[in-house]
Amino acid sequence: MESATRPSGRQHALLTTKPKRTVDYKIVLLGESSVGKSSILERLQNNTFDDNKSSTIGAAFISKKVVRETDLINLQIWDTAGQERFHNLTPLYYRNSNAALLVFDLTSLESFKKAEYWINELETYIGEVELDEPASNEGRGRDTMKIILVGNKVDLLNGEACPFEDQIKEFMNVHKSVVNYFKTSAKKNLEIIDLFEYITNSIDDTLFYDIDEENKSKKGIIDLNFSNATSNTASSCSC
Amino acid sequence: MVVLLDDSGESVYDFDLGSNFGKDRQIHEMTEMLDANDIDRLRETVLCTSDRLLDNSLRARAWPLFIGQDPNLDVYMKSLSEKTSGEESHKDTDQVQKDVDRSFIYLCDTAGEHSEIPHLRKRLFNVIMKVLEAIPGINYYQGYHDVATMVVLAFEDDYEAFQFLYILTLRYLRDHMMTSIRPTIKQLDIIPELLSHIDYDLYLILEPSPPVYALSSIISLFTHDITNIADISLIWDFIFACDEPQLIIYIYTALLIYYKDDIITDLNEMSDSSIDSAGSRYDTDIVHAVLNKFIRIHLSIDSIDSKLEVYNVLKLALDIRKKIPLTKLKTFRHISKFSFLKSKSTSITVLALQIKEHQQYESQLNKKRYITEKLNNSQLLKRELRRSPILIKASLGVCILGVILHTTYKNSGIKVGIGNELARNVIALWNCMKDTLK
Repeated sequence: MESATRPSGRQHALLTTKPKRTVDYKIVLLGESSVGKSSILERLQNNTFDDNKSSTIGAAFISKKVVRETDLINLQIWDTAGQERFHNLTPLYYRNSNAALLVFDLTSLESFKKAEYWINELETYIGEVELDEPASNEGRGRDTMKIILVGNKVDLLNGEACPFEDQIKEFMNVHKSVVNYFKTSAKKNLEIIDLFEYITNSIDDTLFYDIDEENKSKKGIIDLNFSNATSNTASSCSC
Repeated sequence: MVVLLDDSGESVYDFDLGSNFGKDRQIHEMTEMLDANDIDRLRETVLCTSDRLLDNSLRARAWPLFIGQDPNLDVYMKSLSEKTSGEESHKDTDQVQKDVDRSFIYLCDTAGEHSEIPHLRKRLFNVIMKVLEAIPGINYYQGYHDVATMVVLAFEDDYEAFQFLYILTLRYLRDHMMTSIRPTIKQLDIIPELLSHIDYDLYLILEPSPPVYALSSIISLFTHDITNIADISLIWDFIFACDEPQLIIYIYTALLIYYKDDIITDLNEMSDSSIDSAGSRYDTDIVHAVLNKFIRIHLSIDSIDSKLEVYNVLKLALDIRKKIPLTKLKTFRHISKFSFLKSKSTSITVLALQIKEHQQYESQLNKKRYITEKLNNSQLLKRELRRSPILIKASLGVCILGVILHTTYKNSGIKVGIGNELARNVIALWNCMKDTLK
């Protein structure tokens, strides 16, 4: 176990401010077995790293509250199993997600190729959703899933370039739906905070709802459309 | 805590929690039964004893007797090694290695010195690979290694561990090792239906989520979600003494009922509001997330408490089984007749039939999916056409013009190559549109 090396971001300084608006933001982690998906989440949640981490079976869930200025962000994160035979189940996890992290191991080309599989699956899914529910003109605007590429285990490169850097560049060029790329190390705590700060900073304003109104409206809205988390925000857009 | 089922009928087995027997005496008695090969009496004793099989040396002897052995396995393995020597490695080798490298994590205490772990991992890898090679057509899954971990710990001898895991795989796990995960999902679907007969309120609360939350417990025979080896051992003693794979489903359902109040508390906490009025539902993801880890959180790690809890859960499982046989359930009828829930056969021939049936089912499913995709595509086209009436009108205009041109040319007998081709194209387009608009 490695202990905390630096406080996570700027959240702690602002805890005294009462949050005015909030959002449930759903994230899913996809990628080949053993690339470090669960370790990235352990770093986020406890700021620890465990060399001995057991395989994820089916999926695991973590949640984390982040306070940013007057915003309270509830990150709800699904960590999925890497083995291919569980892929049939992954739509359950990415279906409602606001963001997807495609994680691969910077020292394993094989694992990067899996990212290609996932991007195709997600792009097909996004395509279907857009055809089914074309962006409404009601102002809230469907927040399309943000896809982020994450190359983990950067510490194992020992400062050298990734052997398949060109292919990663090519990947970013071809897949415009991938909005950003991070090189992280869950073990050495590199860029994990940057990754999640990027995510929380780029949450669409329309997804937030005012905290006062939450109690009044939430229960009823769950009844109406519990399968779509974004619907909670319909009445309280503050943009 | 939930009160046990208010059961008017008496329970089949009464757990002798306040046993006066000394532990040594029990071990002695059980050893005698094992020596005399009196399996029936041993089964009964195990089911009534608070500590069940008491220790690993007894387990290594009793478990194989409870679930059976394959007397021809030696001969079969010999013939197999002659046939396959020098061939390339098994397709699942990499995945097994990845999982083995991450095993024995919760077991550090019981496994003794940390330095033993490399040795245990090596044993684990060899035993798993040997079973995968011995049973043709099965596929390794993540979670199988958790099952094998328990086996490696219970059997000091590698060949005994292999023999036991071989039968365990065929009798208790084979459905999960088909080419796809679908047979497993069908098993999980039994859980909500079973629950609906026992506790309808809880069934309604959990309904928003599909039962995939039970996946890791079911496919790992609870080893993935219960971290205390003593607790897992008690559950395994119980399942094997009954030698009834259906108990896996019953025990999971019993856990849901036993921890109902805790589950509801967790759901309320996560929802940030309690749901009071009838008809309100929890969010799908929240139900899913809470159930995904309720066993790990609530089955106490304190060994004395957890032992009692495990007894209560197992008793409850038997009560449920007595009340609701799986054959009553619709979801059970959807299960393959070759499933281990229906056929206790450990024959490789029966497994081959199961694999064949599964493959046929999968290929039918693929065909259906292909057709649905085609249909969806044509429906999208239809919708697109409806959305742009001007385009349709224009095309219709062109079509009519084409038809007129065509007939005119035909009637007048003038053969103009280009004109004819144009008309033919327009008619083809017209037919195509008629098809889509149908």
